[in-house]
Amino acid sequence: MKTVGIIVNPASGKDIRRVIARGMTVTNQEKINAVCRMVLAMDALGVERVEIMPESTGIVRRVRDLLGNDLNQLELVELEMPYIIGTQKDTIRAAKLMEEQDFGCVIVMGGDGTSRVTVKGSNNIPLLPVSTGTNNVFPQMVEGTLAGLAAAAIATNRVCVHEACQQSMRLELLNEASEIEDIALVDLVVVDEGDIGARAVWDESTVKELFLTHSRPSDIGLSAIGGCMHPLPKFGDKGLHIELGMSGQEVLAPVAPGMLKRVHVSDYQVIEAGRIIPLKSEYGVVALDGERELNLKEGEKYRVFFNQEGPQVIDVDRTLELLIASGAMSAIQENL
Amino acid sequence: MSLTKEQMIKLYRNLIRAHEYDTTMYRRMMSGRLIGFYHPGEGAMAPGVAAHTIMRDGDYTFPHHRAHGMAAMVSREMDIKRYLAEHTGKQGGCCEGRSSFHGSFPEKGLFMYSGYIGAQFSPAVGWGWAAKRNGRSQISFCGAGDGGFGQGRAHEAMLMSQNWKLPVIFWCENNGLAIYGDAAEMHPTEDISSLAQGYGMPAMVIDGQDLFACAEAAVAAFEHAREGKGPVFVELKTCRYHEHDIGTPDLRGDVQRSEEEIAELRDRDPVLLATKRVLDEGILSQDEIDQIKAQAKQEVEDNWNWADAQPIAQPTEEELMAAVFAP
Repeated sequence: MKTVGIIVNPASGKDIRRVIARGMTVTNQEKINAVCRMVLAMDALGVERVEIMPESTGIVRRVRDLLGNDLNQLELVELEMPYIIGTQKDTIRAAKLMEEQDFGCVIVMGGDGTSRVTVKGSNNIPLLPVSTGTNNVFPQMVEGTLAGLAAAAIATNRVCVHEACQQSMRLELLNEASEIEDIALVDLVVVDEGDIGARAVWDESTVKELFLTHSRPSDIGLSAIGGCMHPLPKFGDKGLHIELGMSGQEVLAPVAPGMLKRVHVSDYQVIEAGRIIPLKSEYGVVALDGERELNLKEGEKYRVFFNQEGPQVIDVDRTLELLIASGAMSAIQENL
Repeated sequence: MSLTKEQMIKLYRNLIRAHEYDTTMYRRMMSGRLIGFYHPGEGAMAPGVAAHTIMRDGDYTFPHHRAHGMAAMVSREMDIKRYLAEHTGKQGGCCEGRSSFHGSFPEKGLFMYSGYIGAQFSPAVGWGWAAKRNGRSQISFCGAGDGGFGQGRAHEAMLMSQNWKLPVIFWCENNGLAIYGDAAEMHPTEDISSLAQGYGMPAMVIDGQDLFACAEAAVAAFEHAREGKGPVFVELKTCRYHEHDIGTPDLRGDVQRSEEEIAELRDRDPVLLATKRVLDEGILSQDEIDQIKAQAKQEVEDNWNWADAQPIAQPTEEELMAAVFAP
């Protein structure tokens, strides 16, 4: 029996893209409700301990208030962290601690960026990313109860984690010394802007080049440029490198919620996992999974590594199929 | 939508100026050289500076009372020496030295401050209606804190603005404290902006310590309103280092705020963050930053010298009654 971790990003689903695009708003109240549903499902399947990353909104306290005495054996506590800062560093530290303490898996509630930051803390702990962000390419749109069941299936060893997971590719931005500057799970984009400002990227006219781990037609965001041109499956072994310009193949893509834009692809290539591709841009801002993160240093040469050994991601559908096939759902019926 | 280099420099300059005015006001209050009271704004100046730097001439504004609207007056280039005179009861003040801390610069679209929390919501909606009828893409800016959005008028204002698609910007500078009241206990949800959803109004939550993120949010929100798409709710998460107003205890509930808490808040000081940004991105050199700071100090000193030199306002009874609508 292992502990299940939950990381909730209180800031996801609320940024400037609610106004610039028509991004879905996910209130913190709804996130709390979703956590309640997850915890109830885990309790029903016999999970003994769930630890939630502490943050400024006091989610653990609020979830406990809502659940009251509804739990049987499950103990719901805050992950012990020496301090919280209120930035993504908390998530990185929390994921690291969860790996060190051998948690069974971690449910990550947020958008692409939240999953990315979690992986920066731990690439090894199985992830169950649940959508509450804007584009939600990496996380899954899954009902909280079912996410809880899937996490419980892993934590209680009813389903083998290796059968339940698929390995994601990750992009690593390397500097001249081949050190990893940062990572992305969906897209690494170079934008032609001198300021990081409000972090979220939505203006496709400023995009110079993109690196994608996959490109599904069903994705939204800048990775949709790839999806509408050369689809590649998620969890595959190929990605894309795309250069945009003033001429070339015209592609109409849903670059943000409610926002379809035409871009010109001047060149693109399919990249096999394991390859390292140099950045063509010498200046600009690098956006990782939709958020502007760092300015390119003038004169420095950067490269992008398409690393096949990204995080293990729990496939909820598959996990639940395996759980039911194991007979576990019939066996525990009397606990419901 | 991105900020230009010129905009970033202007924003930075205004933040430094506003900071200098605010900290000077604090010192003057502590040394008995201000009339009335002062609600210090250190730590909380970025949202007001950002919004008012991005605003255009012709826009209407009802700024948040934090730092007595200093961020607004500085950034909209109002005749701030007249406000300083007002705050010291002098002739030549923007309200003839009679109001203590109330600002009014109608030529710049700032019509009033209020003696009670949340009074600005109603006139902000009225001016929003006027802006819509004028058809000149003006906005009506309604700034308030987390406490102000607990007022009934706030809800009426949001309802009317959304129903009539008025170009009103609801700008919530949420510092987590309404005098002593912890926002977590005074609002059922963590984000005040979740109110906007109930009215079908688009809303966003922004880091209020990041000057340039606040400015980008202002650009996006103002454009939305100017294009006739209706009101927008922008929530800026910010903080304050000092007590609500000078002389009252610095409490959260009934517990004194600790020095450790304040020290942690100062780690994300807007001036520090903005200075680092403009230096790191080569927007300004250290020499240019030093020059901006020196100019701000000189400006503040010159304006206070002017204000201090004005005679004390001594209106006659007739003059006093002439300015009162309902005695």
